[in-house]
Amino acid sequence: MSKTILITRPCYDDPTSYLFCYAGLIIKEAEEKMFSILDLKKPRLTRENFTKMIEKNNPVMIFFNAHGTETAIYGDKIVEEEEILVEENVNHELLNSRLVYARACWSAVSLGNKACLNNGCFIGYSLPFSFWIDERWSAKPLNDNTAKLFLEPSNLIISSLLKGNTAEESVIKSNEMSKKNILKLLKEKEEPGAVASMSLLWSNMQCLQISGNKGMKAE
Amino acid sequence: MKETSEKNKPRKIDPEVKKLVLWRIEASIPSNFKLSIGGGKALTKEELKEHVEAEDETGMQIINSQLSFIKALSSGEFAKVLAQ
Repeated sequence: MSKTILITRPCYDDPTSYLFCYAGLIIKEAEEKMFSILDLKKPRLTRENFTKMIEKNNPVMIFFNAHGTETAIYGDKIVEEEEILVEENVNHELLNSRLVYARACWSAVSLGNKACLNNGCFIGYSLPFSFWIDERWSAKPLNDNTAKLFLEPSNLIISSLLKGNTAEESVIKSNEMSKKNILKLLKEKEEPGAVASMSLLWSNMQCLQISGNKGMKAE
Repeated sequence: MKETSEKNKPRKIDPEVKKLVLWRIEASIPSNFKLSIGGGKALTKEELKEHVEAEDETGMQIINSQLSFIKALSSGEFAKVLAQ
C-alpha cells in the first residue's frame, strides 16, 4: 500500500502563489516515488476537509505551505479571512505521531512542541520563513532565480524525506544548500541584492527548527 | 499582520539603529525586490522603509533580522558556519 502525504497549498497573494508552485514540484516528485498525494488547494482547502482527510487517510507526512503564527497554521482565504487549519490546544492532536514540515512562519516556537507528541516530528521555523521575490517574475514564480535561492533549500527538506532520509538528515541537507547559495552569492558580490539575499538565507537557516523524533522517516 | 513573537512587538528603537537599518535597506535592496515576511502580501522596498520608520511589528521584524545578520558577521559566527 502506498504511503500518503497531505499537502496544503493556499494561493491568494504573492507569497502563497510562490509556495503553491514550489509545492507543486514536490507533488510531481512524490508521485514518481509512488506516494499517494492529498493535494489540498482551493476550493477544498478548508479546515473541515483538512480534518476529514487526516482522519480518513492517516497520512505519514503533512507538508504545510502557508502563513503561520507561534500557535497556528493557516489555510486558504475563506470570504476574505484566512482560516486556521491547525491550532495549538484546539486540534494540534491531528499532527501527533506524524512527520510534519510547516513552511510557515513561527510555527516551531510553540505549536511544533505540541504537534510532535507521540513520537512525531515537527520541522518548522521559529521566526518568519522569508524570501525575496523579483517582481519582474512574480507571474512565473518558478522562473524567479531570486526566490529560487530560498525555496529550493526549503523544498529539499521534503525531497530528502521522500528519498528515505531522516528528518534530521533532511534539515542538514537543506542548510547545506542554503550555505552553498550564500557562498555562490559571495562570489557574485556585484549581483544586485546579493547581500540582502545572504541576510535572509542566514535568517532562514538560523530559525529552521526540528522538534520531536529527529530520526523519523516518511514511512 | 498576524500576532507574532513578543520580541517583534512595537517598541521604541535607538534612532541610530533605525538609521543604520534604513541605510542598509536603501543600499542593499534592488527596487525590483519584494519581501515575503510573516503573513500578508509581499512588501516593496518603500513599504519596508515605511514599516521601519513606523517601528511597528513588521518594522521590528526587519530591524531584528538586520541586526542579527550584522551581529553574525561581526562576531565571526557567519564565517564559522560557512566554513563548517
